[in-house]
Amino acid sequence: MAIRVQAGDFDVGAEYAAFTAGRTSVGGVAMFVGLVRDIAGGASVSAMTLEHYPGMTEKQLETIAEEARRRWPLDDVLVIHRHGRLEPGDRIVMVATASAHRDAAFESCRFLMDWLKTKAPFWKLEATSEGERWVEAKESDDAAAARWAE
Amino acid sequence: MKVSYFALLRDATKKRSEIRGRPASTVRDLLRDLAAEYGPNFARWILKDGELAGFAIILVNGQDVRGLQGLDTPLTPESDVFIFPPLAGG
Repeated sequence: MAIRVQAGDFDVGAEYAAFTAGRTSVGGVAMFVGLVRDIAGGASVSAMTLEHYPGMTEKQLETIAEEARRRWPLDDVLVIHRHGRLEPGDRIVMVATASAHRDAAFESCRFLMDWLKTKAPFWKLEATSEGERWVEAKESDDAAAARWAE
Repeated sequence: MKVSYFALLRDATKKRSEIRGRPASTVRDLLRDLAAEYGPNFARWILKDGELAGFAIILVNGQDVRGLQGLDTPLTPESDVFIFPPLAGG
């Protein structure tokens, strides 16, 4: 299991290659890559700055990844999350899950993203055509996370 | 007591942190003082129905108050408090 919070970009192909290298028991890998969108709430977005609290953020991401491993039979989990100033089209996050079976890989990948959206300690400042604004929690994200309640 | 603010709370307080000369005895008292000083939005972001809002985080000396005594967690003049608004998520 690898959790990385970093300012720099990542290479999806290289991450996938490293994630799967030598894993002959894995039957499927599910991956999600989140990007910065150029529009939010009807306003055009020129940049987004993600703040985090070093130490606490990594710990919480580990807790979320451990929860995925508890729920599904996973061979491995990878979470990469960027912080700092990002522009439309930039990669923000990558989640990959590896399992013997595709259902576990698909479901756990979606679970990880739903929980990251609501439980990962990141705060986003959007620079928009209407000025700067902090992104507040979305009810739709809460609803997405709630469907995984046990 | 040192109190540090994160993200949009810095906009409300216009500061990253401050040393408060009039220490509150609990986290609840501190939040009441801060709401009175920085406006009702401050409390609205942190509290819901008088309790800690779902994804707001308060650390006292590095520990999440949810693992301590919640809003009744005691404070001392030496306490180091971090207040984070609700998460925007990853």
